[in-house]
Amino acid sequence: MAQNARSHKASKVVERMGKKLTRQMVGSLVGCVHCGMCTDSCHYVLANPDDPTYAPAYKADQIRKIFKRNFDWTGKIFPWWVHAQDVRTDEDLEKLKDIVFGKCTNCRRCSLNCPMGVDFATLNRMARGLLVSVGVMPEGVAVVSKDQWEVGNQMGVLPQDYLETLEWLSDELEAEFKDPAARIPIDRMDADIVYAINPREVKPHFLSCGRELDHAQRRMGHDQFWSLLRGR
Amino acid sequence: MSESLRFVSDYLQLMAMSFMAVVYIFRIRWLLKFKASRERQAPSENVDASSFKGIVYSWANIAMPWSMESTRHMSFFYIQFVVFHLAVAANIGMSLVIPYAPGLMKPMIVVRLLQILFAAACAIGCYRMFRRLSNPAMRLISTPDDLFSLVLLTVWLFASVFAAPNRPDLGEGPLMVYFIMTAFFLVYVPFSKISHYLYYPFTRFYFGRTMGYRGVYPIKRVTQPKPTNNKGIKSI
Ligand code: SF4
Ligand code: SF4
Repeated sequence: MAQNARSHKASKVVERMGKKLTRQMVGSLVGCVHCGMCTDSCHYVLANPDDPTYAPAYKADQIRKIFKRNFDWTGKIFPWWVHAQDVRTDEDLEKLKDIVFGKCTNCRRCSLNCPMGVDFATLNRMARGLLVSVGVMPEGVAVVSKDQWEVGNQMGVLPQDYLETLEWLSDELEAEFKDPAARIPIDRMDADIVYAINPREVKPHFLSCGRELDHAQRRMGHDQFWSLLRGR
Repeated sequence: MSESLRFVSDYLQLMAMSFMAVVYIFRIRWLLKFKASRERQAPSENVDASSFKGIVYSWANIAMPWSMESTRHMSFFYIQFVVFHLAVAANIGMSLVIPYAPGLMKPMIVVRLLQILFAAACAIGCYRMFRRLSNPAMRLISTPDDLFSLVLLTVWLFASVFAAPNRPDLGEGPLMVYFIMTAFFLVYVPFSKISHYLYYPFTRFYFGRTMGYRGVYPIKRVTQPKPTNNKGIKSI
């Protein structure tokens, strides 16, 4: 009956939660005593002191209430007594998304200040995974994940564009140093230093990184070579 | 001692305790049914780091108020926590001592110390209720179970102040109330947040294992350098 009332995505989230739960997570789900010792340790709380919904225990409760309603005995029998509540609609999932993606960085400061050792970051990570599995995630995350899978980097820079940018940068370097050898080497096999670029650096930081390495090489002399790893 | 008092102080307690033990066995079995997770990331490169050290540190955490920023900053709250939990443990002990070893409660000093402990814990219970209802974040996270458990413990500690002298000859009322409340407490505990002490070893074990593996536990406190202004001059 309860399952029939859920949206398809909500049903999947609950079903997959049952499969994902580990003993560590269940301990953290049942172990919170709502003492509030963790509240002031969260940087979101410090930045939003007048909004109690940033309290780590409240955020964890948004995951906990689904667990209690579906997997814990008191929550199944007396849901109102322990604030157990099912997730039913896609809007419920959207609300959960805003909390698990937008109100926690999984830094674990709250856990380090929790006398019970409740590991909220692990719960949050699980909730993120569950939501992503049904396609509920912030647009930015969806876009960069898609680019990472399809293109090989989060910025969606195609290999051809990447190589062309390197060519263009090499031309600039060559002109700047007035040295035809001042070019950015790519996939060079005898290099002493290999620079594998962080996917996020492909666009914004690339220029400075490439130049710094070239300067470094010049300081070291030309005995040591560096090469950019094209990678994927 | 009347038959009814004998019943509530002895058989009723044994029944309630057996019930609690059976429910706890089911509860632990349920918890153990979930698979234990394993660490997926590489261990810390610190050769001193180990899961074992993390677990020991995590378990000992409760007795080290300096180990957490929250207890360092809220030392009054930590003292309250110690007094409250000691009083609850002593109260459970008293429910066994009165029927089975009443001689231990004979010295007046023992009675008075227990009464002071119970009264202090009762006052802490009242303060905690105030905190729960007045602080917006606490109010938001508090469930009916949280509120009821706190009221139940506070009233039970209050009743125990009057039961501690163990003088049925002066009237059985206080002892009857105390033992009936103890039995109810024992039956209710497995279904409430009060059973957190059952989960404590598990949560702290797994958290300590992870933190030890990653080299976070045991926490090493480093002296923070004094902040400097942008001219490199230490601020006072
Ligand atoms: S400190 Fe721990 S037990 Fe207390 S409210 Fe926070 S998560 Fe729950
Ligand atoms: S893990 Fe999340 S809730 Fe906890 S302190 Fe960090 S940001 Fe706050």
